[in-house]
Amino acid sequence: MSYAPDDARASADLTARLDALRATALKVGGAGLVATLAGLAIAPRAAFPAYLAAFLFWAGVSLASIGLCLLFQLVGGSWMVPLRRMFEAAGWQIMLMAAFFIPILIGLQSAFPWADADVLKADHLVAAKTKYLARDFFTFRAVAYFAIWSGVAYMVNAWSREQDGTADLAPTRRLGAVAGPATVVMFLTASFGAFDWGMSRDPDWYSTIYGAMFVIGTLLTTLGLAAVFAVRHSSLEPIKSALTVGRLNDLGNLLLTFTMLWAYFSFSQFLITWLGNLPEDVIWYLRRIQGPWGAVALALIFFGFFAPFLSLLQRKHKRDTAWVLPIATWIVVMRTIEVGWLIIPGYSKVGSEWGGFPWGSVLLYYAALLGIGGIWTALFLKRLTSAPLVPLRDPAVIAALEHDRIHAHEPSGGTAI
Amino acid sequence: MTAAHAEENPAIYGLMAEFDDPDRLVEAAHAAREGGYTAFDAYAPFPVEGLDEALPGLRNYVAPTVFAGGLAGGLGGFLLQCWSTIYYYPHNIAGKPLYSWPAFIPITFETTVLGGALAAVFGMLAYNGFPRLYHPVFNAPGFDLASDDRFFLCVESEDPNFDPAATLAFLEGLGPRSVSVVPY
Repeated sequence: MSYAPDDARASADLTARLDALRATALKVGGAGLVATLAGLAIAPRAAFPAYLAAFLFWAGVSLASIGLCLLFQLVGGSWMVPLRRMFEAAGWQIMLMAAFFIPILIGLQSAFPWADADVLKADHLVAAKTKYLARDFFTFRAVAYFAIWSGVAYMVNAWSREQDGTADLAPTRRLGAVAGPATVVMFLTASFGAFDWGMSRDPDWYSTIYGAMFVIGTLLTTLGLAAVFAVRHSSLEPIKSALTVGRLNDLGNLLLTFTMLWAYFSFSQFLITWLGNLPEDVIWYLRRIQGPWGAVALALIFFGFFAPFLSLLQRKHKRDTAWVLPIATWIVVMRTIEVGWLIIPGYSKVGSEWGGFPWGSVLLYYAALLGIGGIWTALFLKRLTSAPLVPLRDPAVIAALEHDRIHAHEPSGGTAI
Repeated sequence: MTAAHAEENPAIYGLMAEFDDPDRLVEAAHAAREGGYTAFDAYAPFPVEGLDEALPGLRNYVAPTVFAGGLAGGLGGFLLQCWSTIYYYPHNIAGKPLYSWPAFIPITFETTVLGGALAAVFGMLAYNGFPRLYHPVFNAPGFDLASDDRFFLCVESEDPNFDPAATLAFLEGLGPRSVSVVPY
């Protein structure tokens, strides 16, 4: 069984809902961007790190979405049926994120200490790294990353849509063939992106696990956002029949897995730093536990890990939209806090305690999150609704839907929520 | 088994119906449930999708058992490290305090997994009634095919609705290959 082309497109109700959402997203995005631009112009020192953090949050969602499309080609299964077109459309927005990267290049010396001549004079640890952390090489790498990511985003989008229109399985075979190497390339480039744009906020410090930690975190964010989006519209076709209880359970399991993996990577970095106890290593944590940042760090442990972890352990919660929606929303909110915590305190002076907390940056961070996020969401919805919401002829999708049909009478898998 | 049943039905464990394919078995289990039976079980050579929901009174306590086992393993591992590093063998390692909890976390994680895994295996065995050296269902003729290519549904005599004649007629109405008596 597969969807008839018309059934797989957004139903009239869903289209109306998504159009309204798009209008709201554009308004919120516009307002957020105006506030952000005002901040960047008036107080660049406070605003650029905040903008960088918001950029990394949304760029991460696009990157992780591309990665999840590739992962599906590698592992298969039925969990991706309601989500695949969302991830494709979200991955497509990496091209939008390339445009949002331009302000960072303009305000480089406000965003990164290594681009600031005064810092280079005062800190020999930073000055020693200027072969790699140089404006031209940095720009070149960014261009290369975006070129690679756009190429992969194009492949997962175009070939998947090409399959909708033809019975010949060549596009799916092509996707399957590139998925393995492309996953490796995506992981490596995303890691280096994290080194360049996240880790180099503290250029006197380094951590080899940082890239993997960033990638795992963005995968968690993306699965959280996908769960929120899918559940919010799960009463409307075609999401209604694609998101069965079994697949909701799969999504809950993925959220649980990545919550644990995120905690595992974050703790690994902390443990090694703590055991070594070297001044140039611990500085990263000292900057992130002084004053209110300490409370944020504790909140990340208890509310970012333990709360969703304990809740998602229960099968009942993962099979109930009334639980999955608040848990996934919670995870996304905690992830915005974590990205802010990773980026904003970078290279701050230790010992400033409460007086030095960058309240302005935190406010601007959320303004930029809404600004970039609003535009991102509007274009995401435009891309999403331009194709059927469920792939039409992919054999894996057809097999999954056939399975649904056979087991439609059972509460275990086939039934709609 | 109630006294009344024991009198009219002294040594029967139940009635066993044999089916050719798994879907038929699931249908039969649904039918038995709708027919008011509460004590029956199904036997199949592989996990049949949908069968667990069709069977009566299936309560799965493995998950909470695993949670308890994981909790016990984690607490045990953590406290063992506290005891050994603080009281039993206090040692100055890299100038760290004796109670260095971050260093205990990897072991705590491992013992949590160990406790959870042991609880899962042994809890599953215990809830399934193992070890068990004798079970009457093996008295049913041809029951060894339950591990090959046949599917069985056994209505047990302890079911309050069990009646030898009526239950036999009911099972035969489900279209089995055969129905047989399972003696104790």
